[in-house]
Amino acid sequence: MSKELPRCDPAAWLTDHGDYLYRFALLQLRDEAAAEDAVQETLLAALGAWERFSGQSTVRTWLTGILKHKILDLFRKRAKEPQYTPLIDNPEAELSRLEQALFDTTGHWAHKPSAWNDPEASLDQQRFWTAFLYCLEHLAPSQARVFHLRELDGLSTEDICKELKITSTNCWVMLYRARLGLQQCLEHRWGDGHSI
Amino acid sequence: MAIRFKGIRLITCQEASRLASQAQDRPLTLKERIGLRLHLLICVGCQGFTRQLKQIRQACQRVTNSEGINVETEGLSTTAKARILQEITVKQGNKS
Repeated sequence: MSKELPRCDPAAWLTDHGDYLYRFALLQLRDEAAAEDAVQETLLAALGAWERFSGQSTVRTWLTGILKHKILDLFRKRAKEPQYTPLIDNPEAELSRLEQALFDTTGHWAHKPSAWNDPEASLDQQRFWTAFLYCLEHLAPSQARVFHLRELDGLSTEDICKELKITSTNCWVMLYRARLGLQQCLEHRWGDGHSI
Repeated sequence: MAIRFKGIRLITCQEASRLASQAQDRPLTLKERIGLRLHLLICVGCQGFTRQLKQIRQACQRVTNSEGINVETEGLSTTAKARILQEITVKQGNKS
């Protein structure tokens, strides 16, 4: 017998998943009003498309999938507006500035990366998530967009290249730059270097 | 100064960390894979960095699976919730 589908109850979606969807949207959009709008559009779209919910995933996963599309659409619109030109022309040059700080002249780490506690095994998971979300929120916009598409929205690099009209080499460089940025930030706030 | 291992030039940490990142985005070539593997055998720093990259990716996955995102940060404001609920009710009314 097939599993019983949950009821179509958008008011409950808002109560149960509204805050989560909002935070997910805010991470990427970095604009409270835009994030609220994205949640609203997501719930309204979900209401219209409820017949297509198969029950194979949870309602939250389904709603998140819709939200990801809304966020993509919004970025496509933003890309056409002159005030949003977040992508840098020469990511390689920007990366090499950071590399000069992180590696010595022979190409070795100036400061060896430390071993981080496993946040799952750790007693203060809360502190890890606070650090992680802080670092994610403080990525430079140019790196954040590529990184979000890859790691939060789960796009392949091919799809990111098409979406942002960049070469795959630039895409890899920007992802690497973003990861180095996150790694450095977490090193301070979570790893050995933290001073709380 | 390049370090050599049985006549093979070993890649530097700078090269290795870049490859470790790209390994998350594309299949590395055989040469790249061997270079990275050899480097990781002898380099504690890059072993640590590779582990950190994995932890960052796992954390992102948990953000999207909504475990990690429920901390401290503000949720929707009461006014926003009220407004969205109203929009939903209007749409539901139109539907039925």
